Amino acid sequence: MPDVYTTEWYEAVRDAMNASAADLPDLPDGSFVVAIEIVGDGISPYVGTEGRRFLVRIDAGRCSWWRETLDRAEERREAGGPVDYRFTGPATVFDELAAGIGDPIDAALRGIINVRGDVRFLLRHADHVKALLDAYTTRVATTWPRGRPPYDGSPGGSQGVLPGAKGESASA
Amino acid sequence: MVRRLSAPPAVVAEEGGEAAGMAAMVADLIEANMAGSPRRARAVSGTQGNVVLSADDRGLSVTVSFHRERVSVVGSSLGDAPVLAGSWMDMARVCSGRCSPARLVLRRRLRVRLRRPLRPLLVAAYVLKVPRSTYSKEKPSW
Repeated sequence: MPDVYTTEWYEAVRDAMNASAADLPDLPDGSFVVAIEIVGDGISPYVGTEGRRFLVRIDAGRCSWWRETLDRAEERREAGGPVDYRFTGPATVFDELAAGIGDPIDAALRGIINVRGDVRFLLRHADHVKALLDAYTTRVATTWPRGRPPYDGSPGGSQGVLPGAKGESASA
Repeated sequence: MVRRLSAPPAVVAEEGGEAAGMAAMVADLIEANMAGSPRRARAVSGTQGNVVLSADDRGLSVTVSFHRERVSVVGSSLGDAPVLAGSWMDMARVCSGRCSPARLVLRRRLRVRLRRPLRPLLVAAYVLKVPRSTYSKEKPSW
């Protein structure tokens, strides 16, 4: 089981996404690049104040690669231009989602995670997007060497920041 | 004679409300659909009234307010307005043309609460639906 935000973990997430996509009957054509911006919030022990950012490239419905980047300039170089979608949110929220706590669609609808990009295509392929998100949140057995979310002291207290978040804070 | 608009009505997502993200997405959707379809922009222009969209599986609602030359979307349910209610995924399928709204209404997966005047409700249903031509364009093609 990989530690969160390690190379092995990203690879496991990619494989889980592709396994989920393989079950779908109608995969979208074309390619797009998504930027994930995890904003450091001083609570997550895995994300410093500078945050983390990574790119995910989807080709014909499957994740081809992911790359962690330092800043928007590097992001643009790696993506070969502007990204198609950008998801931005606090580290605690992304940690909780990776731990299977809460629902990423809920987080987006509530504005806890900010989504930018052409909403018409997100809606068109909502089932595909949901499958990818489900893989991220539930199909990878992640280990948390510095403690598992929800964290004590998060904006939502020990129950986490996401609606429906339940569970106990754990330490390594 | 077809009335021409100098510009589509402006669309604003108001800050605040429990469903602020949903409000931003709905505002983006209306703006993009009007930009791609002058007929939709003309339908919105001159319409006045509120419509509530309720993602009832998530307990979240937004209100689309038509103010003739401006549209605002707020992430909560305002007042005694007509309501379109269903799961978020079904709403996504209807807006993107993957599912017929009539079919979902018949199956009671999409519910409509009527209030007069009907025009805001009809205009909302029209402007929220993505023009089919959008998906035949090349980029982005997914």
